[in-house]
Amino acid sequence: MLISRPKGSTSEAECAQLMVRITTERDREAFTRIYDLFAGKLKSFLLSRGASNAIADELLQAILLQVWEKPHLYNPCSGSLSTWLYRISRNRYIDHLRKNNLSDRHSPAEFVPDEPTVCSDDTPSSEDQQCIRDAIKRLPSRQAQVLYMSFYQGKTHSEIADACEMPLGSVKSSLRLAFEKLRTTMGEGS
Amino acid sequence: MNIAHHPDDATLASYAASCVELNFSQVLDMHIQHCCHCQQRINQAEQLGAALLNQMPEATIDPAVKANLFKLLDQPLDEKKSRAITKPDQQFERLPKYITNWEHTDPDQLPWKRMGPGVRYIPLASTRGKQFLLRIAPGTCLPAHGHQGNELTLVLSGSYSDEIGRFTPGCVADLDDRIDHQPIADRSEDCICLVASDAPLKFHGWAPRLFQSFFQI
Repeated sequence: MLISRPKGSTSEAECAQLMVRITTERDREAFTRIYDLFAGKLKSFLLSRGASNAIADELLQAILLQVWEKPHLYNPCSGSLSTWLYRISRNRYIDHLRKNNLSDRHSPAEFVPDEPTVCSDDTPSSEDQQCIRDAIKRLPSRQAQVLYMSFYQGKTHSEIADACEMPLGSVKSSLRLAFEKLRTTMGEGS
Repeated sequence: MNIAHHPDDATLASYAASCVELNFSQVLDMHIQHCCHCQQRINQAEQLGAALLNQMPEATIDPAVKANLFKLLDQPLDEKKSRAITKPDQQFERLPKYITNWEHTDPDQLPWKRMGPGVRYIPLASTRGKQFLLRIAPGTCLPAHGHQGNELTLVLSGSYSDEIGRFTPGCVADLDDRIDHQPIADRSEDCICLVASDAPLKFHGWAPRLFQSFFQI
């Protein structure tokens, strides 16, 4: 279950400020704060995609070094810090697969993250992200399940179809409908 | 480029979540780089991914890993690179340049193999699933078939029509087990497509089924 963010928690605006401090002052304290906010979640993301513990640590290091070395590449006008970090992590993971000629993902079955957690005081958030989380709570259970298996467990459509004993087309329909509703929440309905 | 057919939103969401197989993501890469519609969808899916990332449980990180990272912050960039990468880069499986640079490719110079009357193909390396170029002569009608899994077909040149519509360069047909169709290449020129799939096709006639065992499609 989700709860509203209490006042005083870390906002996206504060995250953007931390990035400015890293860019202009090479501020290690600001970097440490970003590390504390995101490192555990980013590692969870990498593990859920099928990375081993050692590879997840290695990729996490590369992601955070990119934050330290190239903080100017983050533009708060084009999205939240969470979105930027999500994109970097996703791309790093795909690059890792390609460079090591793994060619395809390992099965993510070895690491299954817990159900989504209650947002802590420190969870970076924005109104948009809170709206998305509220909208997820309103999804029909099948759509929420498919969304969860895709974004949290990193399963392909075929893996979800096998796990849920659903036709492949139904998996895609459920995910499409869920995405459509969440896009509407983001202010872009079509 | 006027693109009428795009990947399913579900496919784009999975692409943004990095949970599509490599053969599919390579087809999607080629479409998305020219498609503002899909770039916008992926941006939205990334925002969704970020919202969900913030809800992820935190994985444990060994204090030594954290200490090592902070030690690297003070080192020169070159040294950081050499330490951060523990495995040497290898030649990774990517699409041949003649595909990624298609506008400068002469298809007649490529090593096509005959598949049937009016149909040729070039198999491409793919560890999981299949990936191949398909070349259909003008006016050729492929056998009616369904799908047992996912298939993404990107039109590189020429065009074809089926029960879904008309597919021109840049269009993607995103097909799955719900879809039976019979593509017919338009009469103007050869239709050449990049195809990725994760399960064999389901042909309805005995003759194509016989061919299928030879060509592994």
